[in-house]
Amino acid sequence: MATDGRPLSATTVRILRAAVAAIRPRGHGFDQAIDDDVLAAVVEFFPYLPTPMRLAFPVGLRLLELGPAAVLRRPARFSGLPPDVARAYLERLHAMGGPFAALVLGLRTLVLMNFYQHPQVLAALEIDWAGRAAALTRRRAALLEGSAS
Amino acid sequence: MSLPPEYAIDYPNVTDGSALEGRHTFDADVVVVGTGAGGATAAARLRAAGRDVLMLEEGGLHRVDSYTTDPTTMIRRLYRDAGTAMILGHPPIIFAEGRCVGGSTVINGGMSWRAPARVLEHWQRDLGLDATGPREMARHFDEAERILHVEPNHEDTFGKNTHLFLKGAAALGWPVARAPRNMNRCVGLNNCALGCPTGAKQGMHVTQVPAALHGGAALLTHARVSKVVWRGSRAVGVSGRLIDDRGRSRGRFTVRAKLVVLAAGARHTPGILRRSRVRARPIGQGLHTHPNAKCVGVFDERFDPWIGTHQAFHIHHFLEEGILIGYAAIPPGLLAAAMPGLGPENAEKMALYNHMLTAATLVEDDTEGRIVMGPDREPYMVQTLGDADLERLHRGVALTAELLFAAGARKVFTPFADLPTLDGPGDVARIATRPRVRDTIELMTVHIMGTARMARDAAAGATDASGAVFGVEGLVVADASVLPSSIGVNPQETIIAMTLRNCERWLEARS
Repeated sequence: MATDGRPLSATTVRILRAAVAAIRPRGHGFDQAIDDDVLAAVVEFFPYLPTPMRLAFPVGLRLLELGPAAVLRRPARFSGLPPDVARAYLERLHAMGGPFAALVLGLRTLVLMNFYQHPQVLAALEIDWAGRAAALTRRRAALLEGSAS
Repeated sequence: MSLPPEYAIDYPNVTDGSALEGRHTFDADVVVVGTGAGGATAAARLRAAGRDVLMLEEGGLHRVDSYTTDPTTMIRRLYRDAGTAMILGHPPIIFAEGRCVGGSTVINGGMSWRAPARVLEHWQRDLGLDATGPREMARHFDEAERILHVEPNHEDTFGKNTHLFLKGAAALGWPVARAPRNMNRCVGLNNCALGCPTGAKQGMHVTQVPAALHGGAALLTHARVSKVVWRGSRAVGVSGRLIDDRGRSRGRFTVRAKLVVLAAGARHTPGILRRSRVRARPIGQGLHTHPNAKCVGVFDERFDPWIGTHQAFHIHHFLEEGILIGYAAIPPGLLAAAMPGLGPENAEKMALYNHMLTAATLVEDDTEGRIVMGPDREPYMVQTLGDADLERLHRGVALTAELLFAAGARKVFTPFADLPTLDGPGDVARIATRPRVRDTIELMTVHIMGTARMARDAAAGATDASGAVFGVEGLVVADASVLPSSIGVNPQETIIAMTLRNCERWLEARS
């Protein structure tokens, strides 16, 4: 897995994979097996982030990985936690405010956006925005030509 | 199969800066930095007056036929920093702006309101800016509306979202204002924020940019301006980097010009001025953000909020209080990020996506923030909402929640993390008693302004009554930076009208 032509380290990928597993929606019709797709889509965003954020992100992820010892008083790494526990850990970090809350918010935004826009999830929600776009583009062209009512 | 006319627009005289390497020098009478509402308008107007114009745009030229409905693709393509910018302060405010040919006019909702008369009167009467009153500005607004092709939505574009919004307003006896929008026969796709694939939205990318190009202007894309080039106190051009789509440096450029028009937006215009060693204290001061807070109503009925246009109507009934209310259709991936909870908790809420109406209140802010330069020499926005703005925001959220309940919502999600859900109309009163904790409010904006504002003298603003930067020659500003105060409505049309007004003055001064 690479971003901006440079391969991500195995540790970064492992942490991101754990973040996807913790944050992604579950139940209520959202049990699609798309974690790998979501992870790939999240990684694709990194090169477009502003430089300070791009530089800070790997550092933030490392601190996130080591944080359970301090936050949960549990001798474990984030990427080794079961998703439920990892989720509770992220919620604790978010509630603490400051830069860690910003990191959780950023991860949450990337994961949820890429999860809910996945074609399988859109299909589950019975949303066909793309199909509607194609139909409405044709309709508008016809309206402007005067060949549609 | 016939296609919309915007698919056939030709863009002559365009150079893709991402394909250039090494150092390049260009010459023009006028260089315009930015191709949004102000920049594109200035370029077209100055070219029509016979000037040799070169437009610079940091982003790429994305033709209408390349637009999709996928946020993950379009945000990377059209938004600066992939939409991750933040106004620092309490609360922090998410800020989004376009970075593409056409600027934010490509990704806005197409609202085309004139600045309210009371605001224009304030500029003319209280701030002493001549010919900015409603009567004097009328012809510029008329011309802006012609450029933008302003019209209301056709009724066949209304979805159930619109009807619910109208139902709520009617139940409360609030009059609604039919929103004028810059579009040519909108068909209600609801994809405005990701670029309009139908071509209906008449942003600068399909109006003033091609008009300027066909008139003989040139455009260099992927050109990020670092600073103004000086000869003494006269601006004689700009210099910067050529970049690729991801912002990586490809080469360097210099443009030599007699007039430099900065139209990089209310964040980056003051940033360029600061990097160019223009020291006047008001530069970067006076930031207004026009923040908005959303409420999501959950209805028993499934109504597919993504079908049918958004913001066909606004509520301006409270505009004198600085409160505007509208509604939007937000793709699930973007709405989910703004809904509380992770994992199953988020899933439970989002399972009701097709039952959700998102409404928002936009607040005219009195508090002035500022632009500060970071250690990376980039401009950062700072604003902490004052007490009056905070109260206005709570009132706006309460009114919006009231409207959603009046429309039939059974619960409303609020922007307050410490009061996330209202379970019925009786709960709306809880907003008034909520402790005024700033950091647990979720806000966003796309309307920043005022950071190089026009003023009578250099102590009060960065630019004079024509948008020319005080204390130097050959340098003018043509974007939301010059607006002297928060205008309380979507600024696109006012930016264009003010640019048209100021162009006349620049040409007059140089004739």
